[in-house]
Amino acid sequence: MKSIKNQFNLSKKRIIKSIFGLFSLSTMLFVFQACYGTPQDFGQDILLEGKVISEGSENSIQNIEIRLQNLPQYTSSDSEGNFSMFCPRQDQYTFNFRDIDGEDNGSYTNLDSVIKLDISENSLFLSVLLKDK
Amino acid sequence: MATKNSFSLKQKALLKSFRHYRKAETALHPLNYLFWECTLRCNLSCLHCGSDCHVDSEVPDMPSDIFLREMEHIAQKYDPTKIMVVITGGEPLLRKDLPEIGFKLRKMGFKWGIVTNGYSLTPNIYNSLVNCGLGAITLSLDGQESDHNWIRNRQDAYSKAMNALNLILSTPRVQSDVVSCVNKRTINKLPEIFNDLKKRGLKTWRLFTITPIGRALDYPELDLSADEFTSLMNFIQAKRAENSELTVNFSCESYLGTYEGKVRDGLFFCRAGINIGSILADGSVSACPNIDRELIQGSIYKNRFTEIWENNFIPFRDRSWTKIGLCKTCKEYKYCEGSGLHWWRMSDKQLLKCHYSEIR
Repeated sequence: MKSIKNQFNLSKKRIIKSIFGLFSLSTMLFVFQACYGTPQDFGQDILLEGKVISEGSENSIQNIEIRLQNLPQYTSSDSEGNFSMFCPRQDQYTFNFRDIDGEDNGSYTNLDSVIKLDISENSLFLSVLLKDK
Repeated sequence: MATKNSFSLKQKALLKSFRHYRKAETALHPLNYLFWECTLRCNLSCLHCGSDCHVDSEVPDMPSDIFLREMEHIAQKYDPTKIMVVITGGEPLLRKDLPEIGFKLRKMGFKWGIVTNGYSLTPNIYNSLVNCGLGAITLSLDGQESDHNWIRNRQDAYSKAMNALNLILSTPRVQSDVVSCVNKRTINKLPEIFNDLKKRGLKTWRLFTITPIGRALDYPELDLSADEFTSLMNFIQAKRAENSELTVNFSCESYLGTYEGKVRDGLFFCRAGINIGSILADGSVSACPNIDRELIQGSIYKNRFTEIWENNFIPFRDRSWTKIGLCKTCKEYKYCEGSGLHWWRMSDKQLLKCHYSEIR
């Protein structure tokens, strides 16, 4: 009996909270910031991952710089050709792949690639093939 | 300008209805905001520091695998997409594994951010943090060059903080603000600081006062007088009324009477232990890291964080114990409930400051 009463009370609290959220003060109630904390993040990002491979040898390529047009972020592929970065969510991305270490790890032609994003996707994996110079 | 006893009808109605929300939220106490004190090491030695941090801390940094294991468990029990993890210190950028930890947190679904003095924030480090899902950052900046360097106890602190600010403002994806600790040296320079920050493109500036704990105890001259505090409220209220591109907020550190709803986005609600928890450097579990350590509720080395969150935290969720001293006869207690809990010294149950009572 006590448990049913507790459940009822909790449901009542949830209803009160929902009413507040819907009809009044919504931003002031839910988007709070601790005294010494950061602002809230709304998580409007997406995880972009991929692997860079040589079209000729099919080996993974290290040290290819990956940039996204109009964004300040950049990264580079690791020793297994993998890369990853969280980026702001957009409808499409223009990737620039650049061989930045000269002849170390082989020489490859640069590639610019436009990728469209499905709105339901939370991550994107790219297999990137670069031509040997 | 507001006076101490001139509530508008709208304010009274808001405060009264907000009490119901606060009661409901306290009963449900969903964890929405989790601090991780990732280190007690720091590269500065600020005069007003409320924590126990040092250049070389005696408390070792918590190993990342222990923290991440606990976070995995939290992600299983609660919805991680509704929890903001705020990494603090000491100075969090002193941990070299911060990007890797942040990446794992974001992959689990948590959103994460850091509070930093910006001293070590280079373009490469910032880029790697953003790549790893950094979603929010707060930069501490305590005034113009001479005042900032004085309080930060280092001659190049301001120039490094400015470099950090420029970097931060280059990434609109990352939610950011600057926090400034207002003191006797800066209270009359706020308009100049405002203009400078606005010119640089900052969107949110948060002001707070110094809590007389930690090293700040040695510098009572940092503490604002009642008149100075009231003039701070008036400054913020006036700036907010301008609807400038730079929004000024007073931090949610205390109840402000008739200034409620006028100097910050929300009404006062100390959510410590209600929505806010923390994992401290030594594994202790508390609410905000700057709350008296006598209020520690457990340790992740003995129990799961979620067990502690669900079963302990009574003094945070039933604050009737704060109705003593100045609070005992205060007519505003129902809206305030003992101010921000970081103002309480637990050894003698003393409220170190009541902003409401200081407002002229």
